[in-house]
Amino acid sequence: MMISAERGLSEAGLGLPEAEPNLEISEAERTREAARDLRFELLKTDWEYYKEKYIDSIIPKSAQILGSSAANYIGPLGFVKMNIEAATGTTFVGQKLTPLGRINHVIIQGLNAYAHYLPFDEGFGPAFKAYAASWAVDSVQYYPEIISALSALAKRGKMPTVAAGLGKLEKILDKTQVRKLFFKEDTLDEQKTKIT
Amino acid sequence: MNKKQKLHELIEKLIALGEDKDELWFWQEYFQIMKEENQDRLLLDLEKEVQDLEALKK
Repeated sequence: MMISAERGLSEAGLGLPEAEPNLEISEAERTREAARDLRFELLKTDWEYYKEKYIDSIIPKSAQILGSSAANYIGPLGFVKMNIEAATGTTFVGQKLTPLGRINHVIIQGLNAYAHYLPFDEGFGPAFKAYAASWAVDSVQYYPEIISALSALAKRGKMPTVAAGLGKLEKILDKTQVRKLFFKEDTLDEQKTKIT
Repeated sequence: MNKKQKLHELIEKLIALGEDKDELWFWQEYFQIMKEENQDRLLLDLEKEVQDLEALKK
């Protein structure tokens, strides 16, 4: 194998001084971020269409507010919370979302909105599917955190069997590396530390 | 070239230019259910990103 003189010197600690930060790379990343933001706005207008057409016109505001029992799942509170998180790219507990994580937040709320519209004239079958889909999409993103938290609680509550079972599940979810799709890696370790 | 082919071509270029492939995979799937006008906007946005990133490489 050929090794260049420059690399050989560098590996021996005798190379050229370290290069200055590559400005072209950071400029490229800024360009990508700006383009992602544009696409993200586009996605919001697509979902806004469904929200305005079906939700705001059909469900009275008071009913929406009364229905907002679970912040991430139903109603305007969850809708606003998750959309703010998606827009800022950071969750309320400080996890940084990947581009796919931001998109996922909008989809979860969109499916919820869709599910709430459907019972009015299409029966509960399609509504249930849309709602189940929103839970499934949400779980894929947040299940690992929920399992970690429950596992920690079980340990504190001296329920070793439950903790062991949850621990196994947590490891399986870790192996699939599903979190990395939705959360930036540097915040995953911090989050794990907070939970345990 | 139809819209879907155009999208596929742009996505391949963007992945080669370092874009997030998980996100682009999403857009490839989502494209099929987007409103027509938003499909066109997305193609324009992706095309511009390709041009901008290629310009930076020169």
